[in-house]
Amino acid sequence: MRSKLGISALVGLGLLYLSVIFAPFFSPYPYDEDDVLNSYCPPTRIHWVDVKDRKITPYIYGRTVTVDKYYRRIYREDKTKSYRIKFFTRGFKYKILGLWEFERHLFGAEEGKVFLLGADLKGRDIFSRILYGGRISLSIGLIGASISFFIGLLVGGASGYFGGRVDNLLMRLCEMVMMVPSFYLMLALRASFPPNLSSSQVYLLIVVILSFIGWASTARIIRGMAISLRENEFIYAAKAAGLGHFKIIVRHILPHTFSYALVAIVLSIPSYILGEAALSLLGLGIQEPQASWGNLLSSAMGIVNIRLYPWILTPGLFILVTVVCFNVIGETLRDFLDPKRKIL
Amino acid sequence: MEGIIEVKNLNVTYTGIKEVQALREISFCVGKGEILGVVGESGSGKSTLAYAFLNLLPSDSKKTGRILFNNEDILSLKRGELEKLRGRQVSMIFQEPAATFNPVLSIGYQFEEILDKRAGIKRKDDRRKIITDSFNKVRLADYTRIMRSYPHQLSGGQLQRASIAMAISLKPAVLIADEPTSSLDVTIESQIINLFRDLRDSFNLTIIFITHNLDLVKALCDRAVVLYQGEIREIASSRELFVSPKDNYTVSLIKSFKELE
Repeated sequence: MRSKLGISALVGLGLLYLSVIFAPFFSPYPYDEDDVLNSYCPPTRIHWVDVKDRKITPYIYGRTVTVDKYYRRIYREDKTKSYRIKFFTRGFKYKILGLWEFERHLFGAEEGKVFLLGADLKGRDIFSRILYGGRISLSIGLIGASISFFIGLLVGGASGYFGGRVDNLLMRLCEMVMMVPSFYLMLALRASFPPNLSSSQVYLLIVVILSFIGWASTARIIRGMAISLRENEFIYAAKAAGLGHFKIIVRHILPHTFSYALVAIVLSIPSYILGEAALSLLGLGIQEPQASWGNLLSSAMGIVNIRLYPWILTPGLFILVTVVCFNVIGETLRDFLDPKRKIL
Repeated sequence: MEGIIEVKNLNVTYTGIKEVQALREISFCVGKGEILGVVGESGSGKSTLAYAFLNLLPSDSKKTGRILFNNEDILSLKRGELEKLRGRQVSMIFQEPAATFNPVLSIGYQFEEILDKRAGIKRKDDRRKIITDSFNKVRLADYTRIMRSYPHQLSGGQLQRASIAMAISLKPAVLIADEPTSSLDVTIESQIINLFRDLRDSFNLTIIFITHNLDLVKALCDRAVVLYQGEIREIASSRELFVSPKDNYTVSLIKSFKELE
């Protein structure tokens, strides 16, 4: 039961990552293509049964726009015009994995625009923006968690192995990092850097900030494991064979913590995704027109916007699904790696 | 006989919650190619002595006195010098063969690690030659299987042979064996004892053999040190020790051992 759930979560995540890696192929429009005429266009309804030709094929109707007394744009379907949805159509040019030029897209409308998940204020396709934004949100979790575990493993390993003064120093450092509520620490760290950075610099900065916050709790747990491991005879044997401290820590102590670390890494990835989302939501993370799931949500901050255009909340759904998937995979891994688990 | 190790006024005190003096004013010499037995009951300081030879004592212990190896004091060596000494000139075998190896790494990996990272033997063929050589010396067959195995896949005897092979692979001058056979059954024990004798005879290896088993002292050692509560009670050749023990404690130790039989 557990493993079925875990496998479906793994498949789900795999699909997410695939669609994010090949974002330009799956997205019908560029993420930064403004189209003011389609501002806050709701998700386009896709029809399947073509009455005229008597066959089943996806198509959309054209749109007419009226402006109401509050200057809101109201979109209605224009049933006189219908456009087929074509697969593997030509669209904007892009490079697959940054290497080969390509211009085919998974789908696109013959004419007019198909907004699978609606459009935002500037008339950009939210579905395309989610796919592009996922590149940032999904990779930040992996990179951030790897960096902070790398630091945490080394610091914790050294601290537990050496003990004494080294241990004291490193653990007080950990406590100092953990003492400050992480969200304020995150804001403070972000504030200490200039606000006008390029988007790739901001990306790096966020990764560094998030991993700076994350390593301390890992280090504490690894330290505990290292303390119990260092009294083992095989550690004395390694010392007696003349191996240096660093080699003993890296090759003989840390491998014992990997089954814990693997589970903990997977379970910690969501907090990096959420951390990025929180920073971007407040406008401190990835800047427009670059997309990330957090800054896509920042346009959904006002309750008025949510009431009028509920589809701008869909990036939140993607965050939710990703976080749930990572948690389920983490739990499954934990059960799987637990030597005391019951064999069914 | 030419001396190789000289212990002078060694005192070791553990400063944990309560101070415990584990060794008091220990002094003795070990000759080259000699097998020296160290006997005593549990808690007499045997293992502390073994660990002191490689300066492996925990950092919360106080040590005074000197352990001279080739006229260099092991206890006051710098870390780098100590790492050079360990494994190359003085190596050690531990009590529990199953615990000597890291359970998550294969025997081959751990063996190669010592040769590669420790001794800087970078060529695979050279390493293989050394490993097969030492496997032959300890009469360990089935090279490929053992190298590929993890510690839990081998028997205690095989593991102890492998750990001896590892300990002698870099041709040390001194081997410290801390109760190497106490967790093995009697047939394996006698094989290991024969192995030690062979190693001494063919490579002039000095062995410090720590045990609580008087039979092994009689069978293997040239001389023996009797420890009781951290003090040396008697040093004598192992024949003398059994024929005419001088100290009361030695007498009662031998007596209780005979009663057991």
